Amino acid sequence: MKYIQFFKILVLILLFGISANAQDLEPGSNNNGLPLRIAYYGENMVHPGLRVGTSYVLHRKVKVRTRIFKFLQDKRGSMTKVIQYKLDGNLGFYNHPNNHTGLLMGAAITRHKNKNESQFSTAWSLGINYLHRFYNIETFQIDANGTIDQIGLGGNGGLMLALAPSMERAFGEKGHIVFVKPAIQLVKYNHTYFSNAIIEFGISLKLSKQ
Amino acid sequence: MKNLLLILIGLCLIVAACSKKESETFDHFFFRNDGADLFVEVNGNIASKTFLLFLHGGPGGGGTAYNSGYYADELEKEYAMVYMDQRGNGASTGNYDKGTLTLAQNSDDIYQLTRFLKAKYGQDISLFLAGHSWGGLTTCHALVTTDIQQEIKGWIEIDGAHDFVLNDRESIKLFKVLATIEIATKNNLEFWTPVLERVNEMDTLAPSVEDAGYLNAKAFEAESYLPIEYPELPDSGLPYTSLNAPNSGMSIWFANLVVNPILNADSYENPLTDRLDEISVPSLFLWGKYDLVVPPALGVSAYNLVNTTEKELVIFENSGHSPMSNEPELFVQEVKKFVELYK
Repeated sequence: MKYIQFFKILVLILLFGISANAQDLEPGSNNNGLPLRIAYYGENMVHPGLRVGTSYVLHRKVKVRTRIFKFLQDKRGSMTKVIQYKLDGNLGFYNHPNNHTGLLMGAAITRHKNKNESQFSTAWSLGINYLHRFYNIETFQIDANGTIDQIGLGGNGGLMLALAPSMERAFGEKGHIVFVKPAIQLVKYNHTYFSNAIIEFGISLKLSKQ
Repeated sequence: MKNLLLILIGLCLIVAACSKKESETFDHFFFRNDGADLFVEVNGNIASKTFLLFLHGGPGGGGTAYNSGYYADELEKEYAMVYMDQRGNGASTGNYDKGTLTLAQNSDDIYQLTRFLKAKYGQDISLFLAGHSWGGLTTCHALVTTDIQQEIKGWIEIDGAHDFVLNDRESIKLFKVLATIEIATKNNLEFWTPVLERVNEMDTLAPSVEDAGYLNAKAFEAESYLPIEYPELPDSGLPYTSLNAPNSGMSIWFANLVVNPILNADSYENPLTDRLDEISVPSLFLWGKYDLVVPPALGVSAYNLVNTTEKELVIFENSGHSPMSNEPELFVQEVKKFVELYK
């Protein structure tokens, strides 16, 4: 277990280049261990891939409000809204047959909202990734003498921005989560950027013992 | 939980199942030149040692729009058809500077690819250069600005827009002629009447950018109102699905948006009518009679101006902008006749 914790923290440090400062966090707000997120990643919806990652709670805010009508307050209790700001780290790949395999790694800031301790939550995240495309087919060039040169691991890469809403549902005793997360991405392509759409759906597992 | 994980893993294993494999009749690769990785697909009879490098229209098109249908099947039986996505178009990609999105660089790409094809498949292959629509301009530009004429056996221009300025002028003329005939015979008045009114307002010698856009859009629309054939002939079908196509519809759409204005502007600045006499390789001009996108007058002009006696102009009586789709049997026959003569 210690090894897993160490690994997760190492991944976070590598991905974000920063070390989280626990003193900045609201006491008791952070995780009972970092979750492991595993998801199907569909580039342009149809090109299949896999994405794994974790997330770290940077800040947690709880708002409690008394209901206007007393009978509702007595029946259901106060309304609570939990807002969490998370730092996500992800690694992933997808395959675009007959063209390329994309490898991506990146980070995102997520604003996660849960009302009244519901099993359903919503979130918005803004991420930045580095995407490298490795061509699935051979790449050649020719020199001035007419000699063919085969380029190893031909491809290209660039930064990618992603804006994604997501919906989550908690399940199980540990509070595992299933989620669906469509996203619009701004992708470096040729001399410019263009947008594409992706879909992620998967699970977030809480690995720690509670 | 286990089931969910298995589904996720299963979806990812699809990766291994979707690629077309290299074979005696199929090859595909990226060809790198000056920062661009150009997607190239070779389909057909590679053993014939006769290759047709086929350049797509646009700007903003792609080769995969051409490698299906009856004509492609028939030509691939006899020859190796090389479909190249030009710089910034289709599935071509790379890390290159915007400043290299020019006809001049594109011509060098085409020329270097012909050198590569000879190096890869043998110096003894017979290579022909063919271009449709905007591809007619890019092939023509490569012919007059590079040494490609030394590498090829012939040029096939199919409704090719080798002179954008002349193209707009001729499009106005042809619109007036055809619209007048159609209105006189009371055919599709709701389409032709407003078109003729709009075209009559245009400056014939110097149509505006808006005029050019209107002409192009209406030219494609007009094909529904003209005696153009759309025969249903058997073919092997599209080689790709949305899952395994080398590019996606989305990327084509965005690439088109991005590269079209840049390469269109460069195309207007490079009319090639005055340089057609620099072309001395055998030339075949294939044109649809009812092509309002690139009128047959351009084919006539090119036929008259190329500097070779080994040339032919074929007007397809029941075709619009794409005779390979409108009259595919005749199209295949003419291409084969030309290739067999000069290969």
